[in-house]
Amino acid sequence: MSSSNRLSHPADVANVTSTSVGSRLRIIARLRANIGPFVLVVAFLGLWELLARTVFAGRFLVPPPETVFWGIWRDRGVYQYAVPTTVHEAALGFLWGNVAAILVALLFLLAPVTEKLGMRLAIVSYCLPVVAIAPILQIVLTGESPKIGLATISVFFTTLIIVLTGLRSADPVSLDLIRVYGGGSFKILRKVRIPTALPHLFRALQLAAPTALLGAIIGEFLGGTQGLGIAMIVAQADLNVTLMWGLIVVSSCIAGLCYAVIGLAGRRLTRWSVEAGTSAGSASMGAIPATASAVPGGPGGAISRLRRVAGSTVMPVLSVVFALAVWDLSLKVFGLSSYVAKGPLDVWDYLFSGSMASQNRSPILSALWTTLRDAGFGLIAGCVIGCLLAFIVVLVPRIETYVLGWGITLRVLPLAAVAPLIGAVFGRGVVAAIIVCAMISFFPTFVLMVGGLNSATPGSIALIRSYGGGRWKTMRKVRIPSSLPALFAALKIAAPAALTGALVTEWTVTGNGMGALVIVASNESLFGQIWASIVIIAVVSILLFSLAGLGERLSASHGY
Amino acid sequence: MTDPRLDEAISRRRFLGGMGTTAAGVAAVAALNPRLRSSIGSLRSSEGASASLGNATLAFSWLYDVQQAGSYIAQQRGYYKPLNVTFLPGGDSFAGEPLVMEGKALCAETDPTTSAAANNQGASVVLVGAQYQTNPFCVMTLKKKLPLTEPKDLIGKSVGYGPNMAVPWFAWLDVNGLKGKVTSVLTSRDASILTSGDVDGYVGWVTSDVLGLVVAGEAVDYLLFGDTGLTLFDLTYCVAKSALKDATKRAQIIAMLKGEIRGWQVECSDQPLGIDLTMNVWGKHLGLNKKVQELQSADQVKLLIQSATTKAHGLFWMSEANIEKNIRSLNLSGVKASKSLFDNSLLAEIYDGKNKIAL
Repeated sequence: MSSSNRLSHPADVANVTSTSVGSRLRIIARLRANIGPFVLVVAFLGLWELLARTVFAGRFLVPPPETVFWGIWRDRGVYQYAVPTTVHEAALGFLWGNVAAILVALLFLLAPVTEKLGMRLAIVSYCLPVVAIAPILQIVLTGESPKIGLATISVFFTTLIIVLTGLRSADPVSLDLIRVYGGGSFKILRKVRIPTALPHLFRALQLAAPTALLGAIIGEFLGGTQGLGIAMIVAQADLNVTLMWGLIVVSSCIAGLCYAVIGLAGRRLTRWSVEAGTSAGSASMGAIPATASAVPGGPGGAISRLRRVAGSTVMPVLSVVFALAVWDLSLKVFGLSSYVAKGPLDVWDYLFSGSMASQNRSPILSALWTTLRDAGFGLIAGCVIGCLLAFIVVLVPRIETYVLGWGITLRVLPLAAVAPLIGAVFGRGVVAAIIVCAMISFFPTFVLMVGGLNSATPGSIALIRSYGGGRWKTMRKVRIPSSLPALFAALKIAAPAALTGALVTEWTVTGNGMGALVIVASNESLFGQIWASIVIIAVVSILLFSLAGLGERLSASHGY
Repeated sequence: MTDPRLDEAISRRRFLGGMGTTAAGVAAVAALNPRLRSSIGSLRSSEGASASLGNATLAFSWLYDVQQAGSYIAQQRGYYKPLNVTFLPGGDSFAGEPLVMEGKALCAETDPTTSAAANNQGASVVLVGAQYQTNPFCVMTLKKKLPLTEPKDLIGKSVGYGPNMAVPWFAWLDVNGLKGKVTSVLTSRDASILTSGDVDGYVGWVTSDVLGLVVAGEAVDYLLFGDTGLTLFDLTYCVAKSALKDATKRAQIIAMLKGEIRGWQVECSDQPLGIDLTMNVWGKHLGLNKKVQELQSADQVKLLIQSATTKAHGLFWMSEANIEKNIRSLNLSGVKASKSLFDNSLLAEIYDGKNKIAL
């Protein structure tokens, strides 16, 4: 066509060639977009094959991929029963944990008074060491319930925090609008808050799916009839590495599938709020709230200052009392014998006032030191990697999908099963523990930091640009400072998670620290030690959590 | 094996299994729900129960593998009658004493070390029989790297032990005069630490850990703790002291023991039956290795369950002499224990001077 026109107009030529080349380019681009992950997967399988056939040959550690996939088919009779059992437990835990979290979030929103007390208890639930309470849950509950309970506890807090953020992130203008028209809290909730919170909710559900699965698997490690965790015990006892790797691959696929499906459902169902959807995708994850940052009451007189001081000391004390009362009461409700059940006073006696107190303290303290070392180094490593990756992704947004893909893969790996393998490869020492903790803490840091770095106001970014500043300058002057609250928010999530990682690794790999202490204690009926360990780990994680929260508030109030 | 009840039970399970594969996902999950399964189990064993002694739970220390073979036989053949027994499977780091104390189980498989420790911590449990006359703990090495014929071979070597093995391991080192002469490396329970070359020796179970290595193609040397100075029972039948004083519960415990004895009497003479029930019924979906299970079945009967004592007095029998040895081993391990931990009177009542009971 264009040739018959004899190039009458130069612009036409440019136009035509660009469209035909453009469509070809688009096809190539699409191919390239899809080929990237494909190449990655092939490279991954190739590396796996190579390592399995060289470094790990004959060591009962890493079988080559085709052996694993063939093994999954051969052992399908195992998976056919293990998968429904574990998925059933995880699904129930997912359901209860999320429903409870949503209800509590609504309660906190509608009756802010409840939040001050309740949030601290919720934090306690997040900081309770899953590994340490498992032996007690196993005695109190029977059958599937301990596994469901562990899955429930694992998902509750993260969902609560994210949903609460969502409910609070409603646009103030729309809130005012409804108020002006005489709408009350419920109308605001229905018309503005819930719609804005939905994308956040889906994000929370997405994160909760792999977590619930991990909780159920840890529960199964303590015993049961069938399930993925049970099969992992058998695989370990029989040195059946093919089954072990098959179980890891299958559980990762289940977790990944749930993650993807919930993400897709979230995008479909919240398409009407495209903006909210994309922001919940990454950015507003950075807005995980400092729980007390919204304390009302501006500059006031001496009375209000006094009230604030009183509030800041009375509320923590009150919540500690409340937590202790809940603890004491639940022991009575379950009617446990004094041999198993130790109340707050028993633990106090065990650690401080009893005649054996100092003998009791010393093994716990030395184990705690090990655990803190494992978790601390792991947390630092995970946060550094998470931050670096976040910087890179913000500077080169194209690679976000890849990094996110690997991050999700790491997140859905059942760490309890992977930890022994890491131990086998990297030695059963502190290095293995650090790697596991880093694997756990890197993902929340990465996701929240991407959100934080992107949370710089477009105005300030535009300002730097208009003065000729490039990506680096924007990063240095605007993005990094404005991401500080997000870093601390990430630490709030990552620090207790790193502790959990350390406990799981110590239980399953290194055999030292609090993780092993608690398991040995449950074997030898040292219930005083178990309860004391639970309290100490919970207190330490709450301290870390509060420190990160303080950092978050300070960095936010300094106008970053 | 021609017992019609067994065939019936297996075919019912086959039917259930078939239902699981064909029905919709939800139905499958429901059909496989362990609680439902165990209620099917209860239904079966209550068939034909006349003057019922009610229901009771027996807690195993490990998963549904061949370690429980005798109990599967007892269940299938109704040997617990007129008691209706439900099994509670154990797992890694399983503790039976709290379950017994909290009434979650009438009886749990424990070992003397944990039960004595529990009593020292305020529990009040009694061991009324010992399935394993000697404990399955051993220290093992790979033959090609470190041949092991006597404890002294370990001098200057490193040995890995799991947290659960700490107490008996250090007692064993002490008994054999090796304290300070062997490097002990705390690890998790995982025998692959031997094949990976991290340590020269590993402390584990002769039935599971050694066999895992053997089946994986490794030649293994091992020393049983029982043969080298540290005699301890294992898989002891642990009940709450209070249960023994309660006439109904005492009757239940006796019925349970009678069922166990008869089940294990059959297992001792017919191991293929136990393997069949393990591989095709109870442990069908666990991914068990049949070869390991067969070897384990042979070893546990030959090395651990049967002994000169059981030939004279019957299975699970706890002779005065053996109880003495156990207490000595416990005290060597630093665990305070006295004779009151053991009570052989129920077995004495059951056997009534014979060394077998009629099926």
